[in-house]
Amino acid sequence: MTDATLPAVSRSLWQDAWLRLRKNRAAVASAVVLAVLALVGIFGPMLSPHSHATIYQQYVRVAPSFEAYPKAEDILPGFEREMKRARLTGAEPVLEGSRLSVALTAGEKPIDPRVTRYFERSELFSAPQLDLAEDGMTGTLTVSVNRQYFILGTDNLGRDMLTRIMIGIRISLAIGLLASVMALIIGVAWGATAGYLGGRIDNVMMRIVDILYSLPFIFFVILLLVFFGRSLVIIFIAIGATEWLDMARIVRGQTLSLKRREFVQAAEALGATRRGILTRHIVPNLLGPVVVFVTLLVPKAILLESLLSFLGLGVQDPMTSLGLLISEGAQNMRGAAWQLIGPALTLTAILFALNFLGDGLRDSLDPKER
Amino acid sequence: MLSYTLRRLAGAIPTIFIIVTLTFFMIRLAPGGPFDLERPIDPLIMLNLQRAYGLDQPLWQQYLTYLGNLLQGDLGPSFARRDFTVNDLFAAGLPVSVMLGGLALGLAAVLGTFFGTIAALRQNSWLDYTIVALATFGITTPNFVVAPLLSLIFGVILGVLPAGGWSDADPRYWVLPIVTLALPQVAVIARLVRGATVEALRANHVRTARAYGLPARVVVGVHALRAALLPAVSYLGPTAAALMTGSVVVETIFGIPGIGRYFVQGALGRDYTLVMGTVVVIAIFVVVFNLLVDLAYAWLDPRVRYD
Repeated sequence: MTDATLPAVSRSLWQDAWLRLRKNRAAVASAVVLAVLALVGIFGPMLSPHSHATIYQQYVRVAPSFEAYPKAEDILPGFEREMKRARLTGAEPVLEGSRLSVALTAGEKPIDPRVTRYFERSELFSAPQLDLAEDGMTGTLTVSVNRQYFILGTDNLGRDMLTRIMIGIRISLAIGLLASVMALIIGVAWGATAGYLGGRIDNVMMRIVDILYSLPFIFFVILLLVFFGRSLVIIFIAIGATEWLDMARIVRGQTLSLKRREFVQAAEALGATRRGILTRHIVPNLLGPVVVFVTLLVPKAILLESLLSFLGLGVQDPMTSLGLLISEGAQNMRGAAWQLIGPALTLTAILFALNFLGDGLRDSLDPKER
Repeated sequence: MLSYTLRRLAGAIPTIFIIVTLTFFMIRLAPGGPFDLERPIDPLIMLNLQRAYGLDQPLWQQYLTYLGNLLQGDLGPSFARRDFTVNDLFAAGLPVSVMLGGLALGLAAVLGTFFGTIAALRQNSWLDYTIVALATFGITTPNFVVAPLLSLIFGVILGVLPAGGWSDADPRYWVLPIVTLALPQVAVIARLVRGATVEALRANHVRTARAYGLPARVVVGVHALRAALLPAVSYLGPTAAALMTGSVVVETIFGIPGIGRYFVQGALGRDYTLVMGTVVVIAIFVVVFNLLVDLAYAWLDPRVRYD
């Protein structure tokens, strides 16, 4: 007879953590939010009707709305303007859906069929169609009205904010993740080794960290940009290469106090190798503080990139990032608040989700939570 | 402890020497020079300029000259700001930056520890969630958004504080820059302290202290807090160095005569001596504060020994 209350197999640390994480509603919701935002960042710009670099000169700094541009009251004046340019006269234009048609009245000369070009070039209209009468003096002109939607408004150059925010999500998440992963791997390996081995090796390793730390971040970035030219990859590398130093110091500090704990002494007494103790005992116990620090690191990397953008060294226009959008928005916050609010809320949402996910991870990795 | 401190300070000299050497050759090998303008200068004038600043000598000789001057505390003349030596610039700017950074750091440490401990003690209550949410907000808002916002609200709309500018004597000019510098640090420290306090409250030594029947105030304020401060102290070292050597953004937006701007200006304009001077000053701050952090570690955690 088997005892049904006992689990058939024991659960590993990670299975256990996963089970606990799934029960944490805030963490699951944050993971979903992050996944959705990541998908928006990856696929959003492809699906958007606007490109992040397209400039609509007629729609500079328009406020967010669900209404289509051109607005109903702007269509007819715009059409009149084009009519005047094309030197055409006509009766009252008729708007049906998105088609605008007008009966042209006779002038002194026959109507040149090439007048349609004026309407092709206009940003308001497209697909002009001219049906001339036999004598070429009168006819009907039909054009389509180009309806543009700027749900989140446009920026100072007349570019769609929604598309730019989606591109910003893509770039910022990429910078945050890549730089943090780089910092995480180097920092944990370096700090744990230095803290655990101690003595002269610790001294040398932390001295190297001190030296690198004392070279200010901006200096490093400016030099990298001067030597290798401006590119996104250099920004990833520069941010990752400066952020692991913090991680190494924190991990070393934790390791220093961990290595005097009984379970490490027990492992040493049982003859475990140093490498084994590091990977099986020290590093898993470091995860709590490290995970919390990573949830601070991703936003920090995103913000560092925005600092670079503020100084004019970051992502270059027309490419953009959330940080760059926010710094542009901050300059225009008195007249065009939506330019700040859209990207700032998006960034806040990403960072909130990261934080709650990090907290959830920390709680679920903590063996004392069982 | 004293011998440890002295040994660490002695050990810092080679560190600073390596930093100086590294930066010297890195900035010199970077393309461009301090006298490169949009319009090329007459070659003869260029030659005279370079001779006046000693740039015509071989690089190793310039390096030795610089090291010699540095040992006597002379950081050399600034290339971009004629008539000023780098020593003059720092003598004027450093006290401002150190004072602002120090006050911001103190404010951040006190508020951050306070809020972090409160949040941990009331874990998963509405108070905890509010503090975590506010802290997240503080971390997420870049200072180039906070600074104009504060200046707009308190300087322009309410009109209670100066919107910008600087005065050594009038503390009202200090408030907004200090708050801008401190806000993100309050948030980070509160999060670190909260995380560590949650762990510390479950630790054996805290349970033992409770079992002895010590009052809650002693258990939390002495036994738990000591362990909980460790990650925050690690964080504070480099942060202190960064805050006290000035912030480009805050100094630019509020118009403060600190030294934070010099670094970016110097590196972009190839003002060699200014960059080197900034690097030396920052390096000294980082070395000193990292030493303080390690000493604080030994004091907070009796298991850590330096001998």
